[in-house]
Amino acid sequence: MTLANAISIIFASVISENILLFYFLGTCPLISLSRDPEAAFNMGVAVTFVTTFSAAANFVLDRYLLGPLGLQHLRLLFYIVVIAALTQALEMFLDRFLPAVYVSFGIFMPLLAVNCAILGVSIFASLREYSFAETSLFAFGSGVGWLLVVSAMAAIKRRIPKENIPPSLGETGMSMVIAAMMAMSFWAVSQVFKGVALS
Amino acid sequence: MSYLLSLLVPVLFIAAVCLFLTVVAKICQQSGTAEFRVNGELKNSEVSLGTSLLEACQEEGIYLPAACGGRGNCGLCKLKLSSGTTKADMFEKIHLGEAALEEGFRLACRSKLRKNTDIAVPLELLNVKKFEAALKSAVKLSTDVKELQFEILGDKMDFKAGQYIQIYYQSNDDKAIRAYSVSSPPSQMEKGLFTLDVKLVDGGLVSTWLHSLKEGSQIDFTGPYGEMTAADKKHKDIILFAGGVGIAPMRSIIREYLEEESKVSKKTSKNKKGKKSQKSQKRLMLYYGAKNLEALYEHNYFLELSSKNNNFIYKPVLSEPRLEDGWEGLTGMIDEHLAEQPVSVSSLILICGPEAMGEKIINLLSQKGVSPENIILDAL
Repeated sequence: MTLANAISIIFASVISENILLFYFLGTCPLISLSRDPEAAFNMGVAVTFVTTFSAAANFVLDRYLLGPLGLQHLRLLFYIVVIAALTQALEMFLDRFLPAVYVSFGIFMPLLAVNCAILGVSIFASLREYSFAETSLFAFGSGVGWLLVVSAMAAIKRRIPKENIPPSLGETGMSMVIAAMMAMSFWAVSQVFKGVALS
Repeated sequence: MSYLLSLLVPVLFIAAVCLFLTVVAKICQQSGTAEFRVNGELKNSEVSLGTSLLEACQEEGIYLPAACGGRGNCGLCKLKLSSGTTKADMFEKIHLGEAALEEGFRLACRSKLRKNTDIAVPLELLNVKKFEAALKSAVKLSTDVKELQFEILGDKMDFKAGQYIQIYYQSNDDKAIRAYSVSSPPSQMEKGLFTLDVKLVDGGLVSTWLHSLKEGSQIDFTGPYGEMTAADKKHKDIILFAGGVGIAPMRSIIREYLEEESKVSKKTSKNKKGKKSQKSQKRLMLYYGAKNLEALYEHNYFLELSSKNNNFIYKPVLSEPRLEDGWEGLTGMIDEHLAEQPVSVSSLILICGPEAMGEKIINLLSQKGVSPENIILDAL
């Protein structure tokens, strides 16, 4: 993997092809998360952690078990089991050995077992036939991208009660509008960089 | 062959994952014990590390309020740790705030025992006991609310009108704790009876179970809990605000008030001089809000009561009256009508209903000069 390739993967996963704003995966916490930026950040760290580890584990599983046995059609089943087991194991590990870290983001682990963004990253990495390093980098970037959007959303949502928003739209409706505007701004940033690269 | 592999490999893989998790659970098992003290008194010198304070208390027969079942949602199991404080998690930060956390307050359901710990439990919570009761009868009050009458088995519970109990539900797959206010007066408990108004919540685990109970079915509960009571209070005017099924504790308070009134009037009629007791001058006002007339159960009873008793004023409010209700009374939300109403600043205010309703009423009353000490909220 060249440096240019690595930068390209990181940029795409964090900004231009953000897992949340480009693929609409992992949107439930974005809509329902509290207005607490600290909680949003901690959950983002947990997602980054689990996404990176599960994508790496799923790569090994895909390359050395499912591929040789011709069982790639069962990817979905295997990946779900790996993610669920990993979140469970990590939660137990943090609770036992790192209680301070556990109270910060270990409590989100059970929620992550069913987070579609984490499963989506593993599947995308397999379909794109990334190497182990590329998969890990892509997963890490996707996690950071998710963290970025959720933290920004929590910070913006804190202002909702102070603003005069249309009552029929409510907080959920406003979250969708904010998400759409954020998606456009992320896309705009990627276009700026694309223009700079072309010039 | 490929079909066999498609079946065999996943089965073996899942078995391997289960084995892996068992090994991890074994490695991560908390080892060691710590001392557990309550109000400075050693309760247990060997509580396993990692046990939540709520569980540790339950093992010692201390039943803290935990209406959400220990999920960190209600914040009722708040207590102060004299020693053994650990880092607070997100739920504790939301419910308690920075100042309380620094003082050593934590949620018993979220805090785990990591070292020798001493907790401060208020005396009234140390008096909370566990009871058993059997269902005596069930009466439908509205489309989704049932009045369940239970007969207590064993010792009677000493409670004040307006307080609530916690019901313990356990099945093969789930266990949960839910809080329900007692809607009968304390005098009924002396006969070993009490009633609960249970609203059937869509998908609700405990309310569905309670609605399906047959006569004679037994329940476990702990109690009494709650500060929202008019007992032992000297206020002349009491204003009750009830939203939906929040009328349950108010029914208990009103019935107790009527019983007291009846005793006082008997005494007065015996008194030849006709001097009135101080108690007879207590006035009660009830604001009762519901969606429509069907949900406003006991409406006719309160109407009749207010027409017979000059010291009881009843103000029903419907937020979404239906055409068939033929409603000509107050509409909208309770707080909208409270704004125009003069309120005596020395009144005792008891509120039971949705949290948003309670907050609006408290804000309005504060603007009218009612002291926060005279307002008690029991949010649903």
